Order: sequence, then structure tokens, then C-alpha cells
Amino acid sequence: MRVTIEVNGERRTADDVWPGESLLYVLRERLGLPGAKNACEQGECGSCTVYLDDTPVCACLVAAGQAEGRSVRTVEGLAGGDGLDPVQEAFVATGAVQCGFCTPGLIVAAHELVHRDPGATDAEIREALAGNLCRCTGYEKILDAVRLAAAKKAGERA
Amino acid sequence: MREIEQSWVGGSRPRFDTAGRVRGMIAHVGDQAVGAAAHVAVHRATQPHARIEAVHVDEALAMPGVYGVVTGADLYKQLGDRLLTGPAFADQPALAHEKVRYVGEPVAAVLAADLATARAATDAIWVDYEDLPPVYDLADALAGTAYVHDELRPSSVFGDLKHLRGVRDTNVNYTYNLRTGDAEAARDAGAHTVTGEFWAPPTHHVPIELPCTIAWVDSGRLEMLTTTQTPSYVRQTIADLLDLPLSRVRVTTRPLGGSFGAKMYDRLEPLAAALAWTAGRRVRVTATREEAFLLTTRHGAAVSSSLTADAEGNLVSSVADVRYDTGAYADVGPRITAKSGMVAPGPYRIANARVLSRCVYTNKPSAGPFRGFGVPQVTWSHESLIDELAHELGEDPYAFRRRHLLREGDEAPMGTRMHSADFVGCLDAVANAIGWFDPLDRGTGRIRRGRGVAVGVKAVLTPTIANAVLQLNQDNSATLLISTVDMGQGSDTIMAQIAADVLRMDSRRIHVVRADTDATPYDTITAGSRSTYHTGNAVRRVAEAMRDKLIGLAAERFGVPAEEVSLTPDGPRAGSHEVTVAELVHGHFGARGATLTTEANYTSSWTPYDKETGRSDKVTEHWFAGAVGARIAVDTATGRVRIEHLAVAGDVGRAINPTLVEQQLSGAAIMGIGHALFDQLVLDQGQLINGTLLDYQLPSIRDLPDQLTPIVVESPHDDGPFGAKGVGETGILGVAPAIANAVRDAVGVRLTRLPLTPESITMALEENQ
Amino acid sequence: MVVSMDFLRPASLAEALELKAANPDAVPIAGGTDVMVELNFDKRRPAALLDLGRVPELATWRAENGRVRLGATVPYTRIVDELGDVLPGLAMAARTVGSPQIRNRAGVGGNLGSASPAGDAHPPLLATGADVEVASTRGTRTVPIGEFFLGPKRSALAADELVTAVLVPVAAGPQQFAKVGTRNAMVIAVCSFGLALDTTRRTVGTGIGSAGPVPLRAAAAEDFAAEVLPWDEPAANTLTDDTAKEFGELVAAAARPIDDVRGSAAYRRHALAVLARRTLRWAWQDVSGR
Repeated sequence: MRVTIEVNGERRTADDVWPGESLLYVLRERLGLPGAKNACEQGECGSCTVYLDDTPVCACLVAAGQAEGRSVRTVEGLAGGDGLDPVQEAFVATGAVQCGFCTPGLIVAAHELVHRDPGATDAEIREALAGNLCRCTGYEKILDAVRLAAAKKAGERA
Repeated sequence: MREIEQSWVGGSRPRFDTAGRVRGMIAHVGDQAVGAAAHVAVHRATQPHARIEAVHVDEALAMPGVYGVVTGADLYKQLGDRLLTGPAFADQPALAHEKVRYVGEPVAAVLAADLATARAATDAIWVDYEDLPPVYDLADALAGTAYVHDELRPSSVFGDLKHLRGVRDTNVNYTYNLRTGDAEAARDAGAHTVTGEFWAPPTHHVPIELPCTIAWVDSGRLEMLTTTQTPSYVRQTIADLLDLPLSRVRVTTRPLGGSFGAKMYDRLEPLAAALAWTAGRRVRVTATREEAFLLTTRHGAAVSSSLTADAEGNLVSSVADVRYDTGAYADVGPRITAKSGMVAPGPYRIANARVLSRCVYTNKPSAGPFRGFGVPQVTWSHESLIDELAHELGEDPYAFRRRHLLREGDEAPMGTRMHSADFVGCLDAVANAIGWFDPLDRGTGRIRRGRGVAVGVKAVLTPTIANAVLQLNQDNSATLLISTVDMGQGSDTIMAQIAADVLRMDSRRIHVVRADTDATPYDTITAGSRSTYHTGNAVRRVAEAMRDKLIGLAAERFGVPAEEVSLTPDGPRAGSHEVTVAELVHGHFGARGATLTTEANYTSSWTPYDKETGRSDKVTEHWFAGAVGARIAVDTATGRVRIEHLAVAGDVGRAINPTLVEQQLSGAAIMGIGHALFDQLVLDQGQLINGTLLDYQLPSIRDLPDQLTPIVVESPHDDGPFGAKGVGETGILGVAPAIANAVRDAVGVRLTRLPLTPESITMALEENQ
Repeated sequence: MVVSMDFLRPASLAEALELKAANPDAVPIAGGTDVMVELNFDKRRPAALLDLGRVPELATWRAENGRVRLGATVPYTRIVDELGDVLPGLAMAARTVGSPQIRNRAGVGGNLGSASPAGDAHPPLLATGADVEVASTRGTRTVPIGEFFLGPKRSALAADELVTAVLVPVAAGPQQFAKVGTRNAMVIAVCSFGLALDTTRRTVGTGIGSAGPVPLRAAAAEDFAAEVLPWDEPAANTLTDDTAKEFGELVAAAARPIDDVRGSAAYRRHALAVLARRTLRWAWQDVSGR
């Protein structure tokens, strides 16, 4: 079947989509956007987190047809051009990135939190990122990154 | 610190490529577009131990989109015994041949136009088996009524295994013995002995990136792009497998999305190479998460051990019987058995030690290297025992350890001296961090608090070989060619820092070429925390050679002796003479864009351990020393452990990049918390029953301790690059015993089996009542 | 060979029911938590997927006649954000479902449709005596939650029916939910327990998860607590240790757990007793605080 999705602001169409395949597969294999990672296919690791409309979801748990006509924003679409979104900048600045494989999903989850609640407490940050597994960092510096990005966002709003 | 100095040794410059990673722009192997390729799916064994009578593939072959189906017998016809590969024993076929030895072993491979078709076709394959008696666990294996392999087949990689060739009627593929003094007599004569039966279950590395190999044939050469930590090893394996000269095999990599030992030696590569070569097609082999759990695991290990003190409280005897369950294929198990067995007594002054350490085949998924290389399993036993002995003697567990820890120059029970291994410094650091010397609110009701410490010791992989090639470009940028694989540890960054420090240049102007066996020089392996020291030394040397070259050119240009020339960030200087590197190189060649090239090698050496005593005066190039301190709270009603503070210290000799060192310590700590509290592969009659991320629970950000303190301890190594050593494994060694020791302190129960699940703690508390 | 599959995309409930009647093999999908995993893992290749994500009637909730009619696809995130006051037990359970990403998509309809003994929504629905509303082109009926689960992954849902809503009584007293798992997030319950006190009618409701072939009520524990709780003197200290302990034991006795990879039957009973004791204490504290 044909699926048309607005991806990172552009209308994109994929043909010959098998109805049982996931949005993740469509993004990675059909639309050439490998930023969302395929690592468990069961919603447990969070590496494939993308915005579906304005909500972070695991792209592996969304059937391709469910995304028809909706808007998807991936890690590749968070910042314009070659620049970095403030959340991405914070991950770089705090050393929150090691192998970087879980990073795209974490960035989307953190991006949503920082925009929704820049005053989030540590417990709220931990809760918001609880669906994203990381094996390298020990999470400590990821917390630092989100605190930094949130503080910056809160400063903007003040 | 000037910005340029921040990019040298000791500076916490950010790693390369971070901006690309946060934008999702770094292409990992699985992200590569492969074009027209055969996608491969694997039909897997349903029996733990059986003879293959027939493999029925006709139905699968008839499915539209299926290019071919290949069995172990097909490959054996073409490759013969070369089909069997492995680092220690040539025992593992890319596809099962004649026999299957674990549930999930690859039996046949389908090549198809797309992955969904390939997977669907694997369901249309069926196999006739003649069941053989299964060897489910260590007890079965050592009882010796059924054998996983008919005879042992040492590979040519490790010369010291030759004597095992052809040995039959055993599941024990390797035995390491340590005999120092008379440990049994000293135990029997000792005043206080504690004993334990310890178990550390099999676990999985679970790097977030799944393994993926793409292989193709180009002009009679086998080329591959693969997720491996060991490109030089894989090249040799593929050359042996296909009987090709090394020059006709090319192994390339991309940055790995984590590995921790999971992507080493023979994983998907032999299968991908054999299929690409025999089918003459480009093939793409990926593992699903469920399949990745079967590719390799961490050894489950049983340790029966004792520790004895005399009446004065001096340690007089350590005895340990260590059994590593290596599963159906030995992988590097024999090395793990020796390297871990030799430190089973722990980092203590003990006059008499006896260790029997065995590597044992069973009908389970193969176990191989995992961060710590078997040492966390014996740290689990020795750090539990010494803690219990301190309790028995009424001594403070911290002070008791400290009194007995090996110091600089001390000889370990296995005969090698300590240098740059500051156990005392690490132990003091973690004890201070978690407030060991302060009063503790132990709680009175349901919640009880306790503290624990543990110390770990590990040898670096020795001997190993590292090579580096450096090209200094005319514009004073540089290209560094090494085969170390950056899998998240940041090796590219610190290697550039080392080279830049020597050359007084900005490390951001150095490009590190990722491993490509056509271009980058031989390097034994990226593993065992060896790269900073070994490859780092090769990089230091290659940069020093380049520095000497530049100074020579400058001396010629200035007309002064070389000794008078110094290299500065602004270029060579001698008195009033000055020139930039760009001008110097341009002047030398008379061309823009020219390059100067140097190469260097660093090879470490060892004295092989004595077969009878297991002793060696130099079994390792250097030691890793680490310590962990934990303050925890136990919910005595549910058995749940909450980690309030975890401190992890590692002696790194000298931190090339302190931030990267802290990352390694923190990351190891969280992985260790998983091993302490919930990680374990559960097998039922050889069948893995929790091989998904839903069932195999890993630490999440909410399992991070309330406070986590990584502590960098620096006691420089005389021969390390700028005094440095590696740190990848140091942090994980003592995490589980530190937490268990804290549980013992909190609620008075000694648990000897990992993980410390709420259930196991609850049951122990009930038994204790 | 990839089998063909239809993707059915109804825009209204009526259309959804017609499609389901015409395609009884079609698998309903909303949050995708269970269905997509089966598809991704090649465990299931249904003839059709029936996407309920665009059926507006399923995606809303409203209060009516002392109950909340909660649409089958209202995601857990909204239950947490919007229903904490009226359905506190369900909201507490919703907070522990999967990860934030999953809670953003998944709702009670999928949990009920899968009928897993480990579904997090089930204990609070049992404890509150909710009804499950199911519909087909034949009409709409309600099934008491206690009669909905027939066995592991089997429910009273007919092949042409869809779960359209749950009807949950608005809380008439404190409610609690607790579960035991291994880690602190994305916890698959080793066992779970939901409790609802009705201080007006002086009744106690219970629900047990992950400790039997189906989610269970502990009827004897409910009767015992309703009988012995000192409703007339609702102070924290009026709940005796003996009462809490016996309540816990009765809950544990009602469970029918097995040994599996997540825990033994014995530990499940032990932990249920602890959870039951503990939630009763918390709930009673809330009663006394009112």
C-alpha cells in the first residue's frame, strides 16, 4: 500500500508498504532516515523514539498505516540545517554521548520533556527518560545534559 | 589551560563526531544502504544436542524471492574442516554440521530478496534429528556421561593449547592450576576459615546496536563491512576459512553502537563470508535482538572457595575451584579460565594459594568475552569471602582488606609483581566517598541500611601487538591510521590527544581512520582494556617519530644541530629561527598537500605461566586496580534493594581524558548494578527463555543510584603512554560484591548467588529468622 | 514470501464494527504494544489489521451516572493526567505501564483485548467492579470485569466484537495500586495488587495481577476487610497489625500463581501479602485523613 507522511516538515510518500511493517521500518528502509535506531522491535529500548504529531512514541510500535497523513519528526529534523537544537548542544557539552546509538531516541524524549516542562525535577527527568536504555554512559551525564537544556529553556521563558 | 592544551593529554576535550551522533547522522553498519543484496535469515536448532539426519529445504527454496538455502553440509562440502573456526578451539561451524549443540544454533541460511521473505522461508525448513543426551549444566558436564564435542580441536591462534589436540571423553577443554605454597595444609592449620559456593549466572552484553555484517566479493577478494571489535582477527579467520591470502580479504568497520565483548572473534562474519563467497552474492546478515542473545554470552561461573586467616588475623590460605560454563563452543573461554583463575585469590598478600579453574562445554549458547573477562565472577567470590572473614574476626571489612591489600612491588600469589596498581588508594577513595567512617542511620523498621566495599584486580591482555601509521599533512593536520575500533569508549579521541600532545598540535586537526584492514595496520584486538596502553604507546611512538622528522627538517632548514630545535604549537623553533609546520613541509617537498609518513609498533611481552604451578614472573604487562563502595537500603518486606550511593574508583595510571575516564567508570557501575540485582539469562533445558528486552531486564535511568561517584585514581605506569593505562573493565569488577556486602551489613544475610533479586533476599531473610 | 495483509482504517465506530463483522480475523490495533511486537517478531501474520486510532468515539472519556465511561483507546498518559481524581487506582496503575512512549499510545482496550494476566489495568478495574463495554454490529453489551477474563490471553470477546470502553465507578474512597518487579522502570509485574475502599457503602474491592491464569479478585479478603475495618473510627491507628496481616494472607491465598522466569509462586504469594498489607495501610491512612 501507499503511505504518505509528513516527515520533518516534508510530505513523503512510500509505495509497496506491507501493512504489517512498522513506522520505524518505513523511516529507515524506505525514506532513508536512519536516525531512529532499530534495536529491540518491542518498545523496550526507546532507540527508535520519534514524535508522532507532537507525542514521543516508539516508531517500532506504530504500524506504517497508522502514520498515514500524520506528521513525524525524527532526530534528524529537530534542528535546522547543520545547526544543533539546544538539547543536542547540551548532550554534546555534558559528555552525555558515548557510542551514540541510544542517543537519537534519548534526544527526542529529552526534547519533549524540556519543551513540556523546563522546570522538571530530577525525579521527573528520570521518569521521562525511563523508556530509553543506554548501556555506555551510566546515565549520569545524560541527566546533566537534560538539566542543562531545561535550565536554558526555563531561562528563555523567564 | 589554553584551548590547544585542552586537546592534549589530561584535557577533557569532547570526543570526535559527537555533533553527528546527536543529529542521528553517524552511519552505523546497519544504517548503510546495501543496494542489491541477498538478505539472510537463519533456521535454528530446536534441540540442545542432536545428530542432524536430514535438512529439508525444498519448500523454502520454492518460495518466490528465495535465492538459495545453504546448510552446514553444503558449506562443509566446499570448505571441509576449515568451516570450523574459533579463537581457542576450531570447534564452531558457521552452520551446524553433523550435530547441533545448543537450542538456537544456526542450521541453515536462507538468502532472499528481502528480509521478510528470508525469515518466512526459514519457517518452511525442517530438520530430522536424532537426539543425543544433553549436557545442560556444569554438573552434567563434569559428570562426564555425555560429551558436547567428540574431541578437542585447538586452533592455531594460541600455541599453548597444542597439547590438547585430539583429547577425547571430556567436556573440560582447559584447566588452569595455581599452586603457591601449600594452601590445603595452611587452611587446615588456620584458625579461621570461611567457605562459600558462589554462582554468577550467564548474562548478556546487550549493546544497543545489533550485530550486522555485509559481505561481498570484489575482483576475487572477499570484502566485508561488519560490527566487530576485532578486525585484524576477523581478517585472519576469513582468510583461513576461505583459504585466501590475507591480501585478498578486507574487513572494514564503522563506529560501533556499544559492544562490551559481544562483537568479538567469530560472530556473524564467518557465515556472511562463507555465504558471499559460495553464492557469489553480496549478503547482509543481521541479528534480531533474540538472535543476538544467542550469539555469545557471559560465562556463568561456579566457584567453591575458602579463605583462611591465622590466629593473628593474617591471611594464610586461599583455595578456589572455579568452573566456567562456556556453552557449546569454547570461544575464548580457555583464556578467560586462566586469566581469571590466576586472580581468584584476590588482590591480597596470601602466602598459600590453590586454584583449579576449568573451562567446561555444555549444550548452551556459547559464552565468550564480556567486560571483565571472567574476573567479575571470581571477584564475586573473593570479595564475598574476605568480607565474611572480616565479620567472623570481628574486624571492620574495610580495614581488614586494607591491611592485606597488595602494595607497589608486592608479588601476587601467581608470581607477578604489582606496579601502578593502587588498590589502597582506590579503596580509601570509595570508603571516603560513601561515608564509611561516618555514623549510619541503619533504620529500625522495614527499611534497613548497610554499606559494603569490594576491591578488584585484573591483568591486561598480554602479549599483544599494536601498530600505528601517521601521516602529517602539509597544512599541519594529520591522519592517524590504527585498527582500534571506537565503540563508544572514545579511543579515537584519546589517540588523537596522545599524538597531538607529542606534536604540540591541536588534536582536533587529527583524523583517525577507522579500521580497514586494507589501510590500517595490524592491531591484535580492541578489548581487555588494552588499547590506551598498547595502541596508545604505538601512537606515542609514531608521533615521536614524526616529531623527530620535523625537528630534523627544521634543523636542516635553520642550519643548527637537531638538539637545539624544539617543537612548539606555532612550529619548530631554535633561538631566533622559526618556521611553521606548513612552511617547513611545503619547503621540503616544494608542493602543497604533501604528507610525511611515520610508522611505529608496540608489542608487549610476557612469561608464560608454568603449567604445573600457574605462576609467572611477568604474566601481564600491567594490572588494573579498582574498588567499589555502596550504601544501600533493603526493603525487608519485599526484598528490594535501593542503592543510595555507589562510588567507583579505578587506577588509570594517568587520565588521558578525565571526562572519558569518568564515563567508563560510571558506565561500568550501571552495568555492574544490573549484574548485581537483575541481569541473568534463564535457560530451561537448554532453551533460553528470556531472550528479549521485555524479559531480560536491564538497568534503566531510574535504576541509577541516588548518587553515583566515579573516582579517578592515578598512579602512573612507568611504561604507559604519559603513564596511562586503560579503564574499560576496572569499574565493573567489584560492583556486585560491594552491593552484596552492603546487604550483608544491612540485614545480616550472606547471599552467594547472583543476581540479588527481591525474591532471593526475601527467601534468605525468611531462612534467617 | 510475504503474505498479503489488509489494513483497515475505519473513521467511525459504526464503520469499525462493520469491518470487524466482515473480517472477524482482523486484529484490532491501537497503541501497538502487543500487536506490533508480534508482527515485528514474525509471531503472527493476521489477514488484516483494523486500526482503531482514527475512531473518535473510542478516544474520549466522560462521566455519566456516577461512572466514568473510558474509551478503549484513551492513552494511559491521559488517564494519568486527567483521571487521577475520579479513578485514582487506575491512574496509579497507568503510571506504571511500560515507558512514557508506550503510555502515550496504549490504552485499556488493548490491555483487555490481550487479556494478559499481567495487564496493569486489570487489578484496579477488578477492585472497582468495572464493566467492560463491547460492541458489534449485533449490538452493545456490558460484561462485568470479573467475567471478562476466561483464561490466559482468552476473554469473553466474540470474534466480531471490539472492546469499546470500560465503565468504572467514580472512586467513593481511597484507592491504591502497587506492583513488584525487578527494576524501577518499565516493570513487568512479578505480581501486582489493586485496592479500592468504598467508604459510603463500606465495601472493599481487590484485584490481583500476574498471579494466576487470569486477573483475580480476593473475595474472602474483601469480605473480611469490609467486616472488620473500623469504619466508624477512621483513624490511622485503628487499623490493627493483625487485620492488615490477615487481609494480606487472604489476598495471598486467593492467588493462583505459578513459577516462571519472573518469580516463584511462593515469592508471588509472599509479595502479594506484603502489597495487600501495605496498600490497605495507605488506603486507611487516606480514609482517616479525609
